[in-house]
Amino acid sequence: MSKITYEGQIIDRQEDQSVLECLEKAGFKIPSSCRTGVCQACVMVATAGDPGEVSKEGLTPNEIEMKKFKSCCSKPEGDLEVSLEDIKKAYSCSVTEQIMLNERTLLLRMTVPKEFEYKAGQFINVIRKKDGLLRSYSIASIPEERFIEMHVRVYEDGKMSSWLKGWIEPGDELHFTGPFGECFYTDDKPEAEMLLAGIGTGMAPLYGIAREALKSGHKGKVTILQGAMNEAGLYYTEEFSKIAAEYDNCQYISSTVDGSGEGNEEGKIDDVVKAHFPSTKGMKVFLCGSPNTVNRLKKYSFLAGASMSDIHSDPFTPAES
Amino acid sequence: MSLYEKLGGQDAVNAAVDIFYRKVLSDDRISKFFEDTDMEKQAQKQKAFLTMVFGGPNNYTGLDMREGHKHLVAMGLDDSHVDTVIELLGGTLKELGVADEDIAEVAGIAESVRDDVLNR
Repeated sequence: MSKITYEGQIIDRQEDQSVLECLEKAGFKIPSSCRTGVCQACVMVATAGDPGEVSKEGLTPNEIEMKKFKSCCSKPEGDLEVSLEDIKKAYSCSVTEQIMLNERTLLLRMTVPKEFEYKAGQFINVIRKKDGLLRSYSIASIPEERFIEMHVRVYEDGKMSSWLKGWIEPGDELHFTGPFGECFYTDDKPEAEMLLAGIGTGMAPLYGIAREALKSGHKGKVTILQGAMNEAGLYYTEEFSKIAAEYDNCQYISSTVDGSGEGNEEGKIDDVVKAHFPSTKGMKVFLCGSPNTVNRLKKYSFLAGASMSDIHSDPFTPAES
Repeated sequence: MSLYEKLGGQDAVNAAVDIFYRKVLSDDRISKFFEDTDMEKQAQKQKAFLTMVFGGPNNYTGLDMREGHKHLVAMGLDDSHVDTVIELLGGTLKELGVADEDIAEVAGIAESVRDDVLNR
């Protein structure tokens, strides 16, 4: 008999019970459907303990790294602590740098809190202590760097962004929870061609993911594609060009809808992606930016041949204000 | 050997889901029903559906099927669309090299949920 901890309760699990059955018996309602490990409706997170290999079959490498498992086919040998939510921890850090990258994009660098671990491309929830205001921001840095970097889209009436821009100074403390999200690199297909396409501050996670992939020795061709309405909407073009110059298998394409700016391709990002990648078969695709653009590109990438499990996306939904 | 085992079990479902979902999304006759859906969640549902029609283990309830398609019936989902789905299912299996008699058996299982899907 082993013990299952869920929502603060410790439940004894009978040997023939799955984690799912055990929790249901204790009165908890856990989403489920096929109960045989196929549909993945009952996926939970093992916050402590090992749920067993069988319970991870069929999950993506990203999900396994996030400690996900199928509760219907987990009969762990030892004790297990489980949750329906991703692991959440609160951290505090201090701001070290604050620069405007273009008219509306603010770069913030912060110290890395002790014990904070993340994968390039994940996001954090920044919380303003005095009123609990919360906004999600992707991490642009990679774990080996000694700072956390975020790119904040500044809205004139944005509560969090105007506060970060106008009231926060280097040396100030910031609070956040995380990391969250499954939009990160895994080295399961080192030969696969990779496309990382984004607009706006969607370039932040892509900046991290691209460098992480290349540093860990990704062999396939890596294309970073940035889109904007016009030249003023692009940022970090030098940084991206630098990556492309450093690695033979990496290219950087910048594009503007109105064709402005030297060296930029003209057209909507959808069309630029389509022109360069008439087929996405066998590719790993990362898409970040506004939900509409991400969803359109996601559909295109899938229909053009990429497998659903190889398409990773991180749509940014701006808060009400 | 059960139909599900014969088709290749979970691996067959995983192989079929990309092909089947791609066909569904690109078919003008039915793609409108899938326009505003979350692609990851939809792929998960397709997996559960394929597992069921492959004769695999499932917790199928007619009630879930009715609830899940109510809004689509309101949008005009009818027999012709179910026909299309069964046709695309057959095409998917053909691409995977499944024998005609097995495809017929799968189509038969899909046929058995028609009334639940159409809420009648």
